[in-house]
Amino acid sequence: MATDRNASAGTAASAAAGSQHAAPERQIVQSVLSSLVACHECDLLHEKIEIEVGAEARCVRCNAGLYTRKKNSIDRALAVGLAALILFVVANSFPFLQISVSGNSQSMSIISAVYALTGEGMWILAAVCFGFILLFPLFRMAGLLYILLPLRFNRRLPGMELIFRWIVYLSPWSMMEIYLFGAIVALVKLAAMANIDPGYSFWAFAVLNILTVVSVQMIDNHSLWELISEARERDETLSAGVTT
Amino acid sequence: MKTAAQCGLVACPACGSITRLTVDHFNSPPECQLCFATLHSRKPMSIQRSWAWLTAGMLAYVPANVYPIMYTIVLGNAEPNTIIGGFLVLWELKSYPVAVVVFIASVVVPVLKFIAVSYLLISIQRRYRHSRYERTRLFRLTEFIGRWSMIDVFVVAILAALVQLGSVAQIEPGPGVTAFGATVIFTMLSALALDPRLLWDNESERAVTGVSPVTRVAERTL
Repeated sequence: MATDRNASAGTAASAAAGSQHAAPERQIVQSVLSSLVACHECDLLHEKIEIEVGAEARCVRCNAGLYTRKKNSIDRALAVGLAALILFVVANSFPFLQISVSGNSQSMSIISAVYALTGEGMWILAAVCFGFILLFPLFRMAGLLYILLPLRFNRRLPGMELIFRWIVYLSPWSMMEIYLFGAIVALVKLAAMANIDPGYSFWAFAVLNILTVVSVQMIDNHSLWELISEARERDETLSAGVTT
Repeated sequence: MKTAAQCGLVACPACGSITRLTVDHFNSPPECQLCFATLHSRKPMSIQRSWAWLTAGMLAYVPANVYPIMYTIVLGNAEPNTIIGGFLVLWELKSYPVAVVVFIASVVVPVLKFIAVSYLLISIQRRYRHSRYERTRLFRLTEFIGRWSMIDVFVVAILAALVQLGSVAQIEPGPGVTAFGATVIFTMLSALALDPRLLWDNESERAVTGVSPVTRVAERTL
């Protein structure tokens, strides 16, 4: 009985699909393609294999990292991402560096560096720095949360793919760690002639940079894309079930 | 050992998922099934764009060194500081580690980047067959290290924001810092435009084993 019903449902579905008789073939092609990975640096095609937890798959020809497998990657990436976002707010709410020379004192926050450039009419450079130090890192943190939080609960939100794509594109332009080292250089430069004190914000920013490095280690792009793809397939089979 | 291009496949630059090229795609580039990015087997006009950005970066490096990157105003006397001058001041202050960092970030890295990217581009255009792996590593190094030159721009911006002590001491950014920022951004764009896959494209198919066109990945325990 059960098989009968399934069979009739199958024919009904294929009849409804009509001209889409090529669908199974396309599915096979898709599954073959998803078992392949091309090296992003030398284009060599590899067969994807299951690797151990904590291991990394590398290209045999140019040794570029292809994908990794991590334990509890979503949960850990979420935890670190959330902490990073909180620290980002803290780092931007308090004085970053304070200077005092013979009674005169002055303090700056992270964004003051951008204002110092706009004050001299260097609008383009100021806008670029604003993007590098604040906007792109913030976009990355908030975007990752927007992607990971729904994935954690097996949901999807609109625009996930677009946001993640832009996170990938903008990753070389996110320069918080370079700003931190710039602050250290400035500290050393001024230390000889003035009293310089790092504020709360400086330490928050330092920890934030460590967390950013850790969050990159938690999950790699390839695994995240796989999770997005799986979530989408699940949604599509669900909606297909509803329509038939 | 076959590349995706040799198999008529193209990998998405953003998500890495693989799409099969069909005849229709000769007219309009395909879209990634997963992330909807436009797909190209190789970055379009990679060499031309890379040369163009690199030239722009080299041109911007001239005013970056000629004009002062900042002015130090102590008790009303404005003193211009150039990139090299900033390094010399740090050297005289005997903070050698920081002086070396500043020198590497502002002089060594940009100049080495000009040389490295030019060499990579020439090696692709002349179809060099030797040391592909070393050249790929050189590419990775330039890509990784290029952004660190931005440290100079940030140092100037931080100093200008912090040292605003009225008549006692004041630091203001100079025109050189815009030019230097442009150098860093243009050379980064040049490295991004350069497609490292071109370094491998003229490799002959000598390694085809005939068993499987697909290679197994190398697994390394971290």
